[in-house]
Amino acid sequence: MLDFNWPAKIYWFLCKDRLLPEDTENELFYIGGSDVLPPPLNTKEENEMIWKLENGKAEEAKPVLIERNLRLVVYIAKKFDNTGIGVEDLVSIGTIGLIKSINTFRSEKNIKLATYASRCIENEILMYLRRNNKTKLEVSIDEPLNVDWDGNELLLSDVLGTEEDIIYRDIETEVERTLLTRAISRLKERERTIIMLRFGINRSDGQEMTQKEVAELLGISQSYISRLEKKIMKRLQKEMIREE
Amino acid sequence: MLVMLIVVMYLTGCFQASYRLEKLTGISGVRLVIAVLMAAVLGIWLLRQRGKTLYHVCFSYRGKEHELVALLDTGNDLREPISGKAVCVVEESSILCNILEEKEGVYMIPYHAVGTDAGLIPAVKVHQVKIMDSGGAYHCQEMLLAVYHGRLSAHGKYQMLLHLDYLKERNGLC
Repeated sequence: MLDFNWPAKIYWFLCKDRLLPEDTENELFYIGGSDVLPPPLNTKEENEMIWKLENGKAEEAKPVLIERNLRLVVYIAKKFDNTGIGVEDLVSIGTIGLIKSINTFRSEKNIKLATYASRCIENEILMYLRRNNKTKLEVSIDEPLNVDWDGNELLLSDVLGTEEDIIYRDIETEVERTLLTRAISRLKERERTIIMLRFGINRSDGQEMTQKEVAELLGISQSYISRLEKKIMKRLQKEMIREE
Repeated sequence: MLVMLIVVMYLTGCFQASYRLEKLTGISGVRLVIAVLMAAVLGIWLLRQRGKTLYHVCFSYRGKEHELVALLDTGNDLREPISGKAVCVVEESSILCNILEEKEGVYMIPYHAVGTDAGLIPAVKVHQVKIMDSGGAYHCQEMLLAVYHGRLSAHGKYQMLLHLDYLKERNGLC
């Protein structure tokens, strides 16, 4: 901070968010608007600029070439004004195309700058329209849909709803899970094995075995497995209801 | 005129208050002390009014957040020629913008100023704009910023010139 004595420091602190008259040294900022874009270059001027572009004076030539071909951009952009995008935005995209064309123009390709630039401008606008159309249907969850004057944002995540019982459902599931695990642990060993194999419990891949597979594994018939399973399920149900 | 009236009423009020307070507390110096304090407050407030207001402006450009100080320049009437949208001015170095490598849209803004009859200045569009002064904040979805390749303030006090249109609510811009 400035090396002033303390009265000056207080003064500065209190006037900090102000630009005082003694701070401005003749900074004149009268800037008026204007409507007209510059006219195109005549042949001689254009050739001169292109020569500069390709002979070390590009920094000098580029701004001139851009400025004097803006009317071309407007002309091309206006063709697309039925797409729902503002003409000024189309012109701004077209200007990018113009800049790109000037950055990549080669006079030895035997093409007029206007022709080459027209293609680049139109290309840029078309690419933009394609990109825009794809993303038009997508809305980000976090991107504000609308911002009001105080800066309050309306997010999509605010509007999307959830079912009311979503919390309770999870709690119920948790409880049921606990009851089931307890009930299974109370089964006899063979019964427990059958259930765990048939429902893929305690297997890392959760793979369930068919009754036939379990029967083969345990050395009993499939129909017996089926009967046992029915009995076990009834037993488990009774156990769980009893616990509740 | 209104300001004068308010100042006179304020000073009268100060005298009254200090007089009453002195009577109440019975100390003779109180009146002078109160009077001086109140005059000081007024003096500081008046001093602050001499300056032009500086604003803090935040916006998002090319995915990055920027925060700058802006001067409200009532002499700025830059507008985008097709839409008529108001344009502010920003120092190129403050937003690291290179027009020749711009990807999202370059708006060419014609202007005339002292020393330049017919100029063109390139502008870019920035988003999520927040303009803050000591009173509060204005919000704007988009703003056009003309990129000036030099310094706006020789002392570095501000990096941007604000256009009056952006401080008017419900002007169709935000």
